[in-house]
Amino acid sequence: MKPSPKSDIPQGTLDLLVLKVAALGPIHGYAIAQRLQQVSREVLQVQQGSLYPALHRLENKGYLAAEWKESETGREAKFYRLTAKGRAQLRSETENWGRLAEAVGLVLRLSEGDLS
Amino acid sequence: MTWWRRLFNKRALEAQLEKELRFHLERQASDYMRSGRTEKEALRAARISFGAFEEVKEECREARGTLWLESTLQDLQFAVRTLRKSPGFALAAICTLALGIGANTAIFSVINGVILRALPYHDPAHLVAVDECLRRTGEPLAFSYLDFLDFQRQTRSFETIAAARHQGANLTDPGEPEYVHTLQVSHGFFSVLGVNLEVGRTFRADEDRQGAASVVIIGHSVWQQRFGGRHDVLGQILVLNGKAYTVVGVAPAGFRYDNGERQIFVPIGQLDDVVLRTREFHPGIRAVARLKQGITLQQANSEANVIGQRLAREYPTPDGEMTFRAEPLKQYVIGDVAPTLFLLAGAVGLVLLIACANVANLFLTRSLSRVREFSVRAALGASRRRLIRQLLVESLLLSFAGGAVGWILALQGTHWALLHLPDWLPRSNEVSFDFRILLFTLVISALTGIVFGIVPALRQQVTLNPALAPGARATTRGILRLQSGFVIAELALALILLTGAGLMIRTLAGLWSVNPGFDQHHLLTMSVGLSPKVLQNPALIRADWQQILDRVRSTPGVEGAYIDSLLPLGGDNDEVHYWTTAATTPPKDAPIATLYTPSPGCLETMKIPLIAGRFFTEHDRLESQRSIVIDQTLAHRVFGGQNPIGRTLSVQFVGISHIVGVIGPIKQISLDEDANGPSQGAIYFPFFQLPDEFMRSTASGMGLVVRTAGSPTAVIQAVKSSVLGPDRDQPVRDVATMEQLIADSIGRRRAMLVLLGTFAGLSLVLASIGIYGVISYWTVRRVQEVGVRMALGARPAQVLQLFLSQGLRMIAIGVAGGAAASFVLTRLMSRLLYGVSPADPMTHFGVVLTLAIVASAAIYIPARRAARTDPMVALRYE
Repeated sequence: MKPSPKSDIPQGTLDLLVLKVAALGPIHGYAIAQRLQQVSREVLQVQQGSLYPALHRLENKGYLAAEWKESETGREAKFYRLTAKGRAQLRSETENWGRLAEAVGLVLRLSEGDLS
Repeated sequence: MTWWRRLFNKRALEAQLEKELRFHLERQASDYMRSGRTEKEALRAARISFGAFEEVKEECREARGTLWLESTLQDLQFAVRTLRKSPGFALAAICTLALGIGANTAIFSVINGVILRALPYHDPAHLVAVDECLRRTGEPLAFSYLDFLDFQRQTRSFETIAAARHQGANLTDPGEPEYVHTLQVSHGFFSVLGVNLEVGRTFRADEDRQGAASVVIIGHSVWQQRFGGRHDVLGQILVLNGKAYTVVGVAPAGFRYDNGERQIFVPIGQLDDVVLRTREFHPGIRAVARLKQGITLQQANSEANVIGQRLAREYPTPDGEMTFRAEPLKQYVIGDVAPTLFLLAGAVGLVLLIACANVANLFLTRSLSRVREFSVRAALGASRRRLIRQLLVESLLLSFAGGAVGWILALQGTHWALLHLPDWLPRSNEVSFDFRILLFTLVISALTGIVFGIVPALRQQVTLNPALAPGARATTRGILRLQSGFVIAELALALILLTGAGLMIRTLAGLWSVNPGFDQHHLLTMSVGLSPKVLQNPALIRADWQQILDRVRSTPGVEGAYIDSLLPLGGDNDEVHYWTTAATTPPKDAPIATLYTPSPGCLETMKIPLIAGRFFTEHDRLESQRSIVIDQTLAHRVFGGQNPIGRTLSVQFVGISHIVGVIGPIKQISLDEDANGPSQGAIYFPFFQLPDEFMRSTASGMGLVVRTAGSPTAVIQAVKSSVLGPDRDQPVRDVATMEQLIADSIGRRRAMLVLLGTFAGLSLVLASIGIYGVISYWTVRRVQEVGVRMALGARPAQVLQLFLSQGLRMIAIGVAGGAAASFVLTRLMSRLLYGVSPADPMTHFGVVLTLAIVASAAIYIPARRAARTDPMVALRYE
């Protein structure tokens, strides 16, 4: 497999983002992909295909529940929604992410002098 | 959705996955179309932005979490297909593994039944066997009945304790007279074991004492055979040794105690037997007891010791040197069989290793011919892990197939062996197949599959074009080296087993050539009881024995006969103390001798040499002078070089006796009894001089030995009907030739010879097949080279030498390694050996030679085939 030319997002982070998007209500895969791009103002370029293994993984873990429903265009699509377990996971992952981002930020803000 | 539903709804899931991803692509495409692209362009762009469609699908499947199972099932299907394409390979591997796994399962099933399984009584963990023994040496002597009663009264460690004494008796009514095994038990016997009777009740305490009414509990089979299984059996009469007993209970079917099915139980306390009334006698009474909750075996033993010391103070004669000891009942029942069984387990473990090495070599050979197949699969994207897994699935499939066949082999083999091998195993009736053995077979099959599969799987070579890959030849060389390593290991392991079997052969050969001190050929032995009519009268008993002897001696084909309470090599021993002076010291200080009580005719019948003086005649009667005969060992021990004839010995229970003769020593306990130190000597007391109180106890059974002119088995019927006499009410049992008795006395060793021999033979065959297979394969691989060599003028002898030298090198290394290992390992079996040291150079040299010759023959066949190759055919090969 060729490496994707677009910036990959770390594994795990994608899961967090997907959970966050799904928290807003039942949504199918295509819409999740669109939403991610729009909301991140095109910064996060998700290789669209890689979204689906993440969705299936989250469904398998019980964070997401899936249901086949009619989509806005009238065709049947697989809609994902956050489960209670998923909501808890989202909460703790969000906290983790916040702490991690803060910590990384702290380290990066160090001036040369602080390191010596 | 649970994982297994996902597994079985695979097709629906696949369709959903396809639908979901297609939906994405089409939405994306229609979005692109809305921004002005053509349909074709839009679809293409959608595909590009989506990424590799099939790869995404595969990742989704993996995310589902059941992929490993699905692909394992695929591997399994593929493995079945591949193996069906090479049935010869599969069959060879499965047979080899079946032998290895089957042998291990069989031995494990025996270990499971004999050692692991709990005894078939209630809460068996708290059951102990108690015995009276010598304080100094710990040698068990069995209880004296009066000591048992004292012990029972004083001990506080046990909930209940009961005595049990095995004794034969004549059952004369109802039904045919028969010599039966009875168990004389104290009243708590059944409650100690926690066994509920099938019908009726157990003995009450007041029935377990002198003068109580005669009551009996019968075994299930006696109930069925003699009372027709009727429920009104309670209150019926059973005649034992001429005495009427009232049936009060029936023991449950299959009840066994101390390795035997017991048919008749009588309360020991009510028996009027001199050996039960005298503290000096230790008439084979063992006690079984149940530990109180919270009392350990150790605590029970220290209490037993205190009681022993108390009794020693109270009765310095004869209890001065006695104490008591408890051990777990299971340990008592199993005895010392465990090391022997573990030795066998080790032996079959080696067989399985050899089988593994053989199959691993088959796989390695196959791996070289499957390079192309695996290279294609690797090129198509199969990871190395996936390829290794595929090979492991194949080897596991074979090992489980081998395990299944081995299971059947073990089932049949164990059944056969228990039926036909000498009866040497305690609890052998409890060897049966259960869940634990199934688990063992499954686990050992899995381990086997991994052990022989892992090396070939890791070494599977993958290259699309061998000619282009510089490493290919090196890898091939590595595999060939690995193969010869396996063969060398097989030869070494086989040599260990062969050495074990060789030492057993030498032991048995040594035992068979031991002179028992008498001529064991043409001898027939049996146990005989007396007619119930004479049982209470010592004078009649003497007369009846004399009549039986007269009748037997006049039977056609009989050359001589005598009776004795002790049969040589019959598994028993009777011992007495003796003193050289009239002033008798306490028995603990007095030496011990084996006591025989033969009738006249013993010497002629057995052909024991007379050394000095005379043997007993018809004139040694009750009223004449007390005479004894001693054996040469005792004569040397007591009198040194002096002539013992005319001297006296004071013999326990008998008193001062005059020595009238000296005869040659005979083996009593076993053919190898001299391995346990020098013999203690023997005293022969004339049967017809036995005092009245002893004469009574002879009525329940004496050994009869008959010398026959021809084959002893030919006259069995004639002798039996002579014994039975006019009233036909004298029970006969345990008819066997003396040669059979001797064979039985070395039964464990004979069984070990058969088993070790079988396993060693198996390993020899497997190792020979192994080296044959490898050399054959090598000759085939090098057939073109051979063709070139021969075309250039090499002679067949040189080609032969080429392959022979390779094979002989392997044999030399394997044999050397095996010889070194067996030199160390055979020490483990020194307990089983007799007359041969574990390091016996003859044996070691002999098996090395045997293995070398067989293995050389195995390599000679393919090497000669290679040497006969037609060079033109060889060059055109492939």
